[in-house]
Amino acid sequence: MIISEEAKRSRSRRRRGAAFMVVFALIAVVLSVRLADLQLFRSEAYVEYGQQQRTRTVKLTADRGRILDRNGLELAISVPQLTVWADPSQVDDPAAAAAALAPVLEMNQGWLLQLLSEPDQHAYLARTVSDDVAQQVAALNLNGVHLLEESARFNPAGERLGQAVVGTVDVDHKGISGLEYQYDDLLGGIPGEMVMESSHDGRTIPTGARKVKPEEPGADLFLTIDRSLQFEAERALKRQVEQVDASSGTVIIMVPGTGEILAMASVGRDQEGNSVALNENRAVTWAYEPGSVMKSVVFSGVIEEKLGEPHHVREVNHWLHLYDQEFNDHTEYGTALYSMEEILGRSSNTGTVEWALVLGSTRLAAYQNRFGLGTATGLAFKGESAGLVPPLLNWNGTDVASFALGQGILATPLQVLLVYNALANGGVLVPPTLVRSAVGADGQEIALDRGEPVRVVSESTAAQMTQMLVTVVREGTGRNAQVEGYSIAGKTGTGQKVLADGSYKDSGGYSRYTATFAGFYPAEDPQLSMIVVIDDPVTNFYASQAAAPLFSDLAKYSLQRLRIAPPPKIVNVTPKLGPAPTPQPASTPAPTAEPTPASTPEPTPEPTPEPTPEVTPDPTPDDPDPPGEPPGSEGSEQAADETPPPEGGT
Amino acid sequence: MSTVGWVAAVAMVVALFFLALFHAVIVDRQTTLDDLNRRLDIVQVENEKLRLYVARAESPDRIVAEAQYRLGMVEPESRVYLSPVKLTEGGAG
Repeated sequence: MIISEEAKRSRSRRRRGAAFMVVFALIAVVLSVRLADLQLFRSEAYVEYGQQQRTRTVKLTADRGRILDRNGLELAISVPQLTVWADPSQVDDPAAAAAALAPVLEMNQGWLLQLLSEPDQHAYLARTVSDDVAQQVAALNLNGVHLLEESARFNPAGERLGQAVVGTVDVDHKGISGLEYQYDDLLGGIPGEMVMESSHDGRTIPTGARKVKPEEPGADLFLTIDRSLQFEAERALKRQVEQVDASSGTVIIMVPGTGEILAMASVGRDQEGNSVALNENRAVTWAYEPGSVMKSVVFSGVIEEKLGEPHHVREVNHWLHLYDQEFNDHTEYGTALYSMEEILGRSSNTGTVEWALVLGSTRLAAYQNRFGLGTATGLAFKGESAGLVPPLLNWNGTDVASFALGQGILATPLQVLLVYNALANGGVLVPPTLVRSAVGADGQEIALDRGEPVRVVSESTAAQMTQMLVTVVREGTGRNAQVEGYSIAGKTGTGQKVLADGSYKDSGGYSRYTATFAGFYPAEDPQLSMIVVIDDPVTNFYASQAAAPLFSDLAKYSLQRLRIAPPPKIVNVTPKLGPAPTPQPASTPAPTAEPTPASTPEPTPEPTPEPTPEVTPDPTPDDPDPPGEPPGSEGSEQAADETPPPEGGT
Repeated sequence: MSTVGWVAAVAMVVALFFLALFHAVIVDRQTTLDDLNRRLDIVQVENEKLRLYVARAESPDRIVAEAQYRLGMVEPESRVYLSPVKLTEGGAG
């Protein structure tokens, strides 16, 4: 049978058509299977993969809160700066890049080369550089070297102004010292996050998915510090430290009624000997033996316990022996009849010891405790010292005398000032504070913990002590602290320092001192209080010379700065202290002296354990005549002796 | 195709056109928004830097330095504070 050519071709076409159909059908099946696999079984994975490609997560950094002074002036703020970083894997020629970057970043070329040669994909080269440097780096156009925006912390009022109080942050913007550390949680805020869909060139895909968890900016911290007062305190303190060749100095100015600290300055010496503001807040971290400023605690206790009044007179000898220790005043006057007011005004050591023995160790310890000595002030500042007052059980027979004179106990300058604040407040101790308020980003004030005021002595006792302290400044050892037109209440203190070997004198018989003046003003209506501590002054170590003049200068400035007018009531300025005592035999009673009230017990030492000199700091730190030095000792304020008896008011 | 069919087809085309137009407008607005956000960031950074500059300019440190080193001022040997009341011996004054 002959099959035509046409039939053959037709059959062939049908076969090819069938083959194509089969192939297409197979392809369709494969595609359908693949489609089903993608859409039905693995769709979620691919959707997620797609989202990952177009979804970008941006971390929203929370702005760190500002630190401002009491008037809203900025002490610490954060400003975005550029950080230079590198991806070493992208750097073409690390050596050339290091050579180009070294002069711009002012970094060691070898160190840069090491950073650029690391196997990591991220290396910080220089963080938060200045705008100029960032522009120069960008102009170099180096492959693998990038710029990143980061926050940097600045102290616009001066890099060192109030630095010890404000504190510092680390490169990651975390507080590491001062208030920056103490209030890091408040200042730091909470970072947020934004998830958004964007194209390959970084543009946002409209209507794309977008999730935002907003950041919570840190709160602004309003301090109690007055920037101008802080600046002046630091400036004047630097000058005084250099003038008396001291190793360091501290000034605190407060509002006693509220406990607000207006200025807190700590100054030391750098390697070249220049005075500089310190990073350490020695006003609260440094505890020292304050010397005669602590006599106020003794007399407050005596008056409060009704053991004596300011006008009560005692027979005082310039020399006193107690167990194995000797206490003496600066001059050898034999015996004199001094009122309590005169004892404090002249800063008589032996007179104070006499009254301390009347008060007794138990009550003295109780009043030291009441005034807050030996316990932290509640400021909660990082590194704050609680000072040291030995437990009563450990006191030996002479400790009541030494502690009464401010030797053998340790207190921070702030603790000492709080004693005087309590007297200024009518006997109420108000906890100190450095922070006035914290205001969140929403404008709402954030409540801060505040301590409760505590009554330490009665209003009457505080008033009598104030009058005695006014006499100290008007006629006694504190005359250099006077401010014309205002009544100042205050007390000097020249404390002996413990040397490295635990003694109060070196091998040559020399001692080292701290000079303190603490007080408040105007005495009739105390609105400000201040303490000046000069540590280890060399050219003149007496508090009346080293600390009191600075107190006067800063008191004048602060009164002007805060526009505090003298109160209308003018204090009586009739002289209270008599002329300097004439040396007389110890057995000769003063014929015209007011008799000691019958209610005043004799200064009989309380029964106490035997003295244990090996554990007690030298209880007779008096050094009336150190070899080659002008005479002086703790409590023996030179001004009382070197200045003529007062002839009248200021 | 019936009249209704034609109308539906035209309506569909018009709807698709407006939908495309709407998307184009959204994309354009989004681009504008991104640009504005970027400019806002730049201005905010600039503002913060200016605030730092002003705060530094107002600082007592700088004012004293300007006074001493640029204007040649010197600190007085002593300061006299005027007082509204002067104490006199023996009582009020």
